[in-house]
Amino acid sequence: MGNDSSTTCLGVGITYSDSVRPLLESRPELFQVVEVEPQTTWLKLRNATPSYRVDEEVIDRIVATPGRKLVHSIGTPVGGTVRPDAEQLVLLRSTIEILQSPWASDHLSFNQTPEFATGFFLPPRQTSEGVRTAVRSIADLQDALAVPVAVETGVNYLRPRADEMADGEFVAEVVEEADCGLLLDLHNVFANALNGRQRLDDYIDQLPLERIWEIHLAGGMELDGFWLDAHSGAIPDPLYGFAEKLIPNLPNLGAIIFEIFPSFVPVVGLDLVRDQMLRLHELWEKRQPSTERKPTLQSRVSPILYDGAPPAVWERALGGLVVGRPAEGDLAADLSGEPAIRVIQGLVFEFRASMIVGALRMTSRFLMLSLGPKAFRIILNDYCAKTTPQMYAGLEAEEFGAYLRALDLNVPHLAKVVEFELAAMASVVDDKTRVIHFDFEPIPLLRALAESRLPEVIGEAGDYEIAIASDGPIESSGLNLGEVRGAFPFH
Amino acid sequence: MAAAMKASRISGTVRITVSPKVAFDLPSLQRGLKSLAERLGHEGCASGCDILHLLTERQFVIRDDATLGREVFPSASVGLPQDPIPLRTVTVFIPDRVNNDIGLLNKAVDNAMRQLGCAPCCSGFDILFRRWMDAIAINEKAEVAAFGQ
Repeated sequence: MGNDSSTTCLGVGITYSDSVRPLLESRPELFQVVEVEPQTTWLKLRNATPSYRVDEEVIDRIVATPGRKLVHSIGTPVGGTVRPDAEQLVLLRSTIEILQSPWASDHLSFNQTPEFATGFFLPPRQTSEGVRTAVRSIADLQDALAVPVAVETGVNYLRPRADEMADGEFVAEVVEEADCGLLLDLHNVFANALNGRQRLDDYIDQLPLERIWEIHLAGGMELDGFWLDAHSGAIPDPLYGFAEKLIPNLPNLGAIIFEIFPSFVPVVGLDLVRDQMLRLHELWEKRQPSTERKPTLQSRVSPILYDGAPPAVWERALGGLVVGRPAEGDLAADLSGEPAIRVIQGLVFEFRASMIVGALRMTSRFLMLSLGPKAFRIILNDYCAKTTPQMYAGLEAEEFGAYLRALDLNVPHLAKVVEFELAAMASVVDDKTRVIHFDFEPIPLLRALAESRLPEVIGEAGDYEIAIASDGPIESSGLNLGEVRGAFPFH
Repeated sequence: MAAAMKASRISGTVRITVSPKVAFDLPSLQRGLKSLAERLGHEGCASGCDILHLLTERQFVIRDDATLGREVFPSASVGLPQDPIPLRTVTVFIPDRVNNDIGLLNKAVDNAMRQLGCAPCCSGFDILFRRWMDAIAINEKAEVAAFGQ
């Protein structure tokens, strides 16, 4: 499905998450398509083959949601020198087949260096070599997947640089060279413009509009002088107005997707999500599929060769800075002066901390209740400074657990709570039975933490085990009934 | 009550077995532990006397809707006479499958995926951590009583 073929016409939809499921069920007519980020339905196993686990129950429930499905990968980005992971590509292909996605997409960004994950999608090196790098990775996707591939325009919080192509120009060269589709994330481009990069009109003017198969729209928020692509609520009115004018000029538009981050849904409410879907339907009506295709613009072919630092150097420099490593080399020193670096570092921290409090809830509560929120934040900051991000929350929680063990805080029974939670988490992932031994009665402590409080009493000393297993009895063995009855005759 | 929790009254190991999905899904675990503690005797504590109570009840089921019941399972345990100390086994099942509330299990699975999987695409931030930190309950003594509700 290059620029010559017509796109499968899907319609309006939303990014799937369990937080929007009630709306999918109550108002199915609003959703002609549901976009799935497959990695959010996978679990990652450490030191295992295969190293991913897909929960078929989740996939089955996604299949049962209204409308067609679109696969939007978030684990095989094509903007960097780290090529898409072969194991993920196999799973991705399988997911595409199960969901019968007519095309698949991933990001024209990078989130991985050869040494570490960045924990955040970062802008690619927008040079001639950067174009070649992206085209090579897109070819990997095209070879591995049985459907056409589109790439998504990314957010870039850095200031424009003299040694890089304009944003629209770079995207245009990539998709033309790769002969692929374009997923135009309008909120990303809107945020870039608000943050001082290319104007929205200028950006669109450089794109091959006939390659735009899909649009993403979302809401954002301001933080420290930046407009964030936060997927936090309603589509800003100026952006909606821009989309109204643009959409009639997109002859091959196949889908418009509303994105909202799951954690924000309880904050803004499902009524807002419903209203955004209704607005998207109005946008969809603006389509004019018969519109004559816009010719390729000469400006897309850059007469200038942008060189300078190669993509791998760019990725190490930028990636290293956002994960808190000291600047090494001229480029890193140059980038370290970017106001956006500090903001991105903060965003990465929030993601990592959210993964930890989400996966290790009782541990986090125990730390906050025992030490206070300030100390808990200091601990998290120290952990993030000493380790690099993990892409999967389960792995991040494992790392944090290991960090806590080494920290050996003076919080009685903390180690056992950590051990219990990590074991529960690991058993969810691999279905193996794990037994945790306690030298005190654990129910009062675990119950109190599950209820967000410290226990009034800690269980008395004794030998206890909690076995986490797929099925099974609670067994209490080794009790001398006679002695116990003698001790508590009234029971 | 503390005296009723003497470790000396326990001559072996007490084992509690839960399914991974219940263990990891905090609302399910919370309901299960609450039901268990209540059934064992005193809601506020689980102690030696509670274990006696457990022994006399013999068989429990914590259903996936986190309610507790007395039900007979074919594999329910019986006393295990062993030398030198006669041992008894009490069995509580926490079934992995839900027969009467599929929505609850779906929610537990969704929770596990959301909390262990890859974060969705976003170039902003996950508000979860801030919401956790902001959810602070203060008790009547003006002390922090709970976090992360």
